Amino acid sequence: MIQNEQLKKMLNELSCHECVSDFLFVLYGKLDQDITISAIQLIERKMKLEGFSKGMITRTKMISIEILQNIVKHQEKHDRILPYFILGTREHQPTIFSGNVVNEGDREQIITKLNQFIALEKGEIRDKYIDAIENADLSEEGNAGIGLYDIVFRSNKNIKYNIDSLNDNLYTFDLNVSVN
Amino acid sequence: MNVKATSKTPFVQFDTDSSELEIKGVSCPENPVQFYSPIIDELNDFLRNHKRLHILIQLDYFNTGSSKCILNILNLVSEQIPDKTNASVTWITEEEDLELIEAGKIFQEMSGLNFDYKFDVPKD
Repeated sequence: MIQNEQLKKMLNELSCHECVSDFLFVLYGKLDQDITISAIQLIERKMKLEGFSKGMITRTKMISIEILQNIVKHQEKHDRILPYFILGTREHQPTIFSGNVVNEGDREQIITKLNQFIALEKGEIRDKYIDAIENADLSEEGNAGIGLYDIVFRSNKNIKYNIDSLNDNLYTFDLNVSVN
Repeated sequence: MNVKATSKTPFVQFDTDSSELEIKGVSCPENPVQFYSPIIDELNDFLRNHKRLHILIQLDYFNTGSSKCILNILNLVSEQIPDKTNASVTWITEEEDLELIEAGKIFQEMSGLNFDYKFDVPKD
């Protein structure tokens, strides 16, 4: 019941303050890899129904998979705050809101990577993105550590984020990516 | 080598007789290294004695871990086949899919291989 109230409040706030006119897809609660794949299939289907172009649908799927897989890998347990992923439209463009609880180490990585890429001129992003892929080291778990760079590149820096402290070295990480 | 597609991983067929590697579908495995390592190992063995390869890639979407693994495959081919006329990539997308066409151009730029872009008809 509390969770539903939180979600309702969140959607209301997005409608009022962020001018989101339509919600195409909403996920709330703990995520796993299977849910992310099903989510991408539903996002594709929903965007086709709404008449988005093939390129826009693919871009939204590629950004969404990185956001969702980041949540799966980094979501920290919290008794009141659950992960969320919302795809809506603002002025007929897809916009994604997501959030989850992260630990201190993840917080530092997020701030470093996002600030580094967001500070670039738009003309520099493609070259830096290519550098990031070429120089990425894959861990044994298969993590390349370039998901955030991918999101910044594909959204052409149309990204906002916020990190707030909770307690016990935990933080809320909220992300808004506009796809255009 | 013949790997069936799943909801997270692509269909992979490596036909050593015709020197053709085909990767087709979705590529979002949780651990791309685990998925792509056997392919890279077999390709490495093949390229010790063969200096000609055609790669056909038709991806619906992929995650960044897969990007790195696909780049590793392309770089391996680029390094092992010095005569670039014997190594080629056919990159298949839907004609309207500018995002995937751009992804192909980035792989082409990074690997230095010859890419041929072909367009598939929309699924529905």
